[in-house]
Amino acid sequence: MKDHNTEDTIRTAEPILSGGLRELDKVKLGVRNSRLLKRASDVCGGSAVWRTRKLTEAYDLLSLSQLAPRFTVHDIDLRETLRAKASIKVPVPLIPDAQGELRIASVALLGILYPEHAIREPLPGFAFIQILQPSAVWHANVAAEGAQMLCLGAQLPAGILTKELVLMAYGALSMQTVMVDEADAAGVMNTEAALWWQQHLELVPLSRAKFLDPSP
Amino acid sequence: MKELCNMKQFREITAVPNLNDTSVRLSLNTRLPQFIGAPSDADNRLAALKIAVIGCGSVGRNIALHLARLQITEVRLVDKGVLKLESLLTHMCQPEEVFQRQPKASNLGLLLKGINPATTVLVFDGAIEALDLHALVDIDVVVLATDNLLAEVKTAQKCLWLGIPLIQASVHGDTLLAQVRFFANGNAHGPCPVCSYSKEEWNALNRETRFSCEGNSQASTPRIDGAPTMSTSFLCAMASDLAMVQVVRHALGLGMPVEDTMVEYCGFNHRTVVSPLKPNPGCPCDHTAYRRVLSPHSLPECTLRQLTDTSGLGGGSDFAAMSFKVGNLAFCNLWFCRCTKSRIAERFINPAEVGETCPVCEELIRPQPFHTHYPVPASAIDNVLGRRLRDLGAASVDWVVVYGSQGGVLLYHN
Ligand SMILES: [Zn+2]
Ligand SMILES: [Zn+2]
Repeated sequence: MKDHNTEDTIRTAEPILSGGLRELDKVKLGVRNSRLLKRASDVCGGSAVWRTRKLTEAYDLLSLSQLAPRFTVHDIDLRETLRAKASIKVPVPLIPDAQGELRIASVALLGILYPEHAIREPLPGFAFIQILQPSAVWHANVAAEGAQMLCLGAQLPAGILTKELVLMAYGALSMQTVMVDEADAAGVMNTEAALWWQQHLELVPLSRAKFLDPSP
Repeated sequence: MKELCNMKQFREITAVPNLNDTSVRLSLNTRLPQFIGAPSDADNRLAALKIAVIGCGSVGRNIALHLARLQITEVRLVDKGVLKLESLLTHMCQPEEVFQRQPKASNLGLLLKGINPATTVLVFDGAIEALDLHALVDIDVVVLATDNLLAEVKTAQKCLWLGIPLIQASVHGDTLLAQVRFFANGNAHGPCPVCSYSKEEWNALNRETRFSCEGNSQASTPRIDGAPTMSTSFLCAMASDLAMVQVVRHALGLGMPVEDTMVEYCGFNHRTVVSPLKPNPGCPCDHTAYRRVLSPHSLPECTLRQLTDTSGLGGGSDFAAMSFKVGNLAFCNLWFCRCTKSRIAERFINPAEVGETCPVCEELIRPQPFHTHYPVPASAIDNVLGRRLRDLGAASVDWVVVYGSQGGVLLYHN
């Protein structure tokens, strides 16, 4: 799934890494990511404040992909709602097989959605991230029926950053930040999965790797 | 009360029980002073006003009553709340209305109609966020009197897009402070209520807005968990009276301009301070007003290409950069059901409504969020731009916003 070109890979090895995620604006985008950003910004629509914000968010996502080998941005659309298709190398729990054994996928393909009003209004935690692949995700925060929206909490604050959404999605999928209390309305979308995970807490988390760690 | 066909979200209060309306017809001139510097047609100017009051609580209720006594032509009332026991402490209302938990807007509407039967009174017992953008299109001034921050953000943005002056009246009980802010919304460089939000206000907005995860609907309606305003009826009355002074000064051009100013009265020292309101370039609201065009044709009979022509925007090479808001409808490119993961939809859907069922698996057909657009870019739907909106699932749409590089145009049809 990783398709960074050489220049992107070199960039991730630069000292900027030590600055961590606060230094995203100092990352110089590689050729491929620059091209993605240019193509998206050429048709960036909306009001001036929204266009400016979208360009910053797009830059952050692409920079993040250069810092984190496990994260790849495949496409960005800035015409109206910010839409990014991105993948994270992370264990993704799938519905247990006939023997009751948990199945695990190794990559999540995410559809990241960031609508204009999110810059000034709190939105529900399931408004931003759709798990496009794999299907049959077995997770307390992903509804069994529906579009596999990943719920990141009861509500997320106005103006939340897309890089924060990505980090939250990683934490939720790897079950490092996990909500399996089926009685807690904040985030539980699949009660059956929540109950199953309560019985299998020994499997949690699915990975202890940090987001910026080298991917497996 | 009857349903209005052209203002479908509002309900008109047409008659007050047990009241013969001819018996209370009075001329405003019977009591209207000759304000210094007022135009000679002051009574007519006041009579022509159409004002919307968002929030019919202790402050908004007083304002609306004043408006009825000024005999303006139309008042629209918006509030999703009901009268409750505590209302007796701050509102002018009767115990029986409280025990019946009457909706605030409807209850107030009847009162207004009783004061002046000649004023058209329209009520919406719902939240401002549920009100269509074009429902306030012909309003002269919006008065905002709510302590619900989400309603404040939504109202601020609606008034900016419509280019309608917004007067906000509020109180701070502990400091005996009544405050009125006047946002002219006359151009893209003026202030709005959100411009001055502090970190504490953003935190409060995030804290008090609550969603339910149930249903996984993209149109989830928030619940507001804000603490009630701690105030007294006299302080609320002070804020509403100050707001009315600003309404009349604005309408008649009395004294120094009130646009983009804040008036604060403090009961502790009886001082009144007037200060200018400043815009914030980093404000997350869109400060650009839409141009408004009354469509000569019913919108569902039009294609988006025709509406773009009517808007005067785009055309030619610019067309690819256009986008559209078709009422509150999202454009769904792909949807899915239990038996088919992604099937072509290519139609407008209402995200708040339950969709169709699949004839094969008999389960609900739902939109794929990542392939559903609101607003929808022209380049995402270029194969259907020549089809009538009616044929694309938008058979009852009555407003469309067309966006181009030169801004937005609101097209509406009553
Ligand atoms: Zn503003
Ligand atoms: Zn089906």
